Amino acid sequence: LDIKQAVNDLIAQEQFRIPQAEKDRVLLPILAQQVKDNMAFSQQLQKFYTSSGKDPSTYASIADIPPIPVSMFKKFSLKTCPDDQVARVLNSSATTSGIPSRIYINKETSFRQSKGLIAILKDFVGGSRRPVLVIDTENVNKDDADTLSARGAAIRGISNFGKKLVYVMDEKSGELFLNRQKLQGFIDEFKGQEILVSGFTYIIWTRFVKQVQDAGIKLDFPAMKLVHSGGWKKLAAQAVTKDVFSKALAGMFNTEQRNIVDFYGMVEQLGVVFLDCKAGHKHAPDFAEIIIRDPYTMKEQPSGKAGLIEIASIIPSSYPGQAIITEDIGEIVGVDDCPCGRKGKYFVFRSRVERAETRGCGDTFAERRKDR
Amino acid sequence: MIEIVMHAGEFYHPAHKETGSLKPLLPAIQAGFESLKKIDKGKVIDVFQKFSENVIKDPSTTGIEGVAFLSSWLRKANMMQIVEKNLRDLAYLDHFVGETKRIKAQPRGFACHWIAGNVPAIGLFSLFQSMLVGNANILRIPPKSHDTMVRLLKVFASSKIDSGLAGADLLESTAIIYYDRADQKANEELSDVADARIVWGGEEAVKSITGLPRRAHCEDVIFGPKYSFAVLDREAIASKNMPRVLRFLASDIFLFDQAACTSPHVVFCEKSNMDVATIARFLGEEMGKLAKRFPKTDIDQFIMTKIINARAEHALDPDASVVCSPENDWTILINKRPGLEEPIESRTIFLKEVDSIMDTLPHVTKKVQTIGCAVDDKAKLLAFADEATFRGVARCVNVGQMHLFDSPWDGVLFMSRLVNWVTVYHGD
Repeated sequence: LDIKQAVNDLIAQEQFRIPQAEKDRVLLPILAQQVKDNMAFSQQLQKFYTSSGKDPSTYASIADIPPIPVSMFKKFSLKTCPDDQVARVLNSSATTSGIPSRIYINKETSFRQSKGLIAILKDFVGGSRRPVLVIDTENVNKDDADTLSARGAAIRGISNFGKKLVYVMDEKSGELFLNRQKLQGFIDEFKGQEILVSGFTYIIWTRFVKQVQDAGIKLDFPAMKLVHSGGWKKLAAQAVTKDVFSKALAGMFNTEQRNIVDFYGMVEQLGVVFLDCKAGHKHAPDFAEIIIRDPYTMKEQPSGKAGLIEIASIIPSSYPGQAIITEDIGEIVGVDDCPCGRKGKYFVFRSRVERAETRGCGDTFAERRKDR
Repeated sequence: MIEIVMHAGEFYHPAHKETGSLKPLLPAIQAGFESLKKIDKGKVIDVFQKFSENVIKDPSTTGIEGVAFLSSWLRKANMMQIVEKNLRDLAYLDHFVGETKRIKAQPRGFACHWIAGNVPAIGLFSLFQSMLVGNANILRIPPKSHDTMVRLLKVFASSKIDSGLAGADLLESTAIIYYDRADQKANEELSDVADARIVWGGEEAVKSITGLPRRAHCEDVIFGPKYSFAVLDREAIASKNMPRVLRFLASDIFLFDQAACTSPHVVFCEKSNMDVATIARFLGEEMGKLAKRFPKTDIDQFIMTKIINARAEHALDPDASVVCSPENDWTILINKRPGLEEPIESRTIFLKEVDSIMDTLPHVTKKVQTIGCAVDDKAKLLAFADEATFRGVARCVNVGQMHLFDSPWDGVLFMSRLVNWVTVYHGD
């Protein structure tokens, strides 16, 4: 098996066409070989895979690959290529823990990430290049920045489809404000045309919507697609559901609700994004896999049972991203039979894993100086 | 809204009665409080003894975590010992003792208890001591413990001694309630009626309650938040008792899903003829046996994620290792990082090698409550305990006894804090 060729072929082809049974057969040998390569390259990874699982030659399914928890990319420099081949180190934004992930990217991985992202997005938004309205500040996606947030990564992916990118938010003292002139300019130039809109869900809802309404600006883009992600925890606290969000944004842009598309993705697994189809499901592309694990047994959950989301991908050759387990909860809805016609597993995102109410008098050992 | 689980001896569980205010509950509790004053406290201890016998036999309470210990703790001999430690003599509770200057221990009045959710029986340790010294009691108990508390208290209510006095009579001065922790009004109301506030819980709970307005005379007794660990010296590791020590250690780790202030999170082993990897393997065998007997029932996704992360971290770290069950049940994490570790809970223990158990002392702060000790060198044990308690540790106990509720607890003689020492001059 020529692994590199197989990976490139799978990424380049039209996505969501391979039925699940065939997909397992195609992906497993590639992933197993990649794990072997990781073990051969790094003693650290050799120790991890050996102590956490079985010999890659004996993997019977993708779920047999021991997943690396996403937070390990914050604690360790995990790479699977020589230092001189690292083209870029991505530092994820560190919003929750305060510590960024470090993801080592070589040229090959970078190329595959772009190709993979394009292949997925093409299937959902079409292949034509069109104007892109970015509901964010340009600062979030500076070309020379070595820090890439989830916000920036999403915009970067969408920009592949842009013939013109217009950022309509300005950042002043850490707060985002609508740049009315830029928005009006975009409206005047592209009114009624097919456009793409991209942004962080929480920012769209809490900053853009209100400021556009206050400014009395009318948006009329029936042929638009809004691709958005992130911040659902805070929105849920404000009782904003996905349906409430989609209805409001569809109304604002004068388009149908199905054009408001939520997606799930992470900096640690760039190149793989999971967009909502018209049935409201997220689909794994042919070059990646979604596994929902029971948080106690770690076994793969059957359809309809919630568990920890794990993403397996054949894209990375510079870091061990073959199987990464997240701290998110999701649920497989079905396999091969989504009404949208896409093949493979499809799932829904449920929530982040939340800290439960303090259970008792057991406590941290750390002294908090203020208390003394 | 305040849910009433039990009020003045009447049970409302699982269909709780609701009230918008505590006020309607108070007259009946006050009447029960006045009745309790008339009851000889020796008889109260006799009811406890009867309950102690019944609770281990009654089918409705068998299998409740900690019930065997609760039973032994409530035995008359143990109760008398606790009274003697706290008050010197039971007689002080019933009448004035002395000659010219006579002293009595009067109840403080209304004792309001905020009980943590991790150890269901803790509410009873708190209640029974307060009841014995004659206080009326209102306990705010988390929903997770309601069922256990009600099962236990129903057996208590039906425990009757020859004189006709029953647990039900003693419960007339007691209420068990629940309201959401965000219900500031209910919290303030409970604090306002308190002559003594007893708080069991984590930092957040303690802060939110001690910050409430209270009466000037109100006595606060605070238990928590705390951290515990264990030490094994080389003599204990080398001794023939080591298998038993590891069995007891596993039990300390398993009880209360490691969420108690007495739960060990780190075990420090002195360098000996047995390396930590071997100790971990033997401890793992004991933990595996307990896991089979007591399957994990409370699967907390957040804690499972912490276990997954800790296992991966130790598998990736060249200087660390993991011994664990295939599922996220029990986990032993071996590393060379000096000092204590943030608790993961749910049967997850860190194992570290040290040159001497004395090396752990710099890590001891006032946050550390209990140190489980398997220290065969008794001179070393005393020297260690003296230094550790000087730094704030409340208890240095044998491994296997970390959770045994005792008096004093957390440095506090609980009963003595729940009484007013009053005097009368009876002479010329």
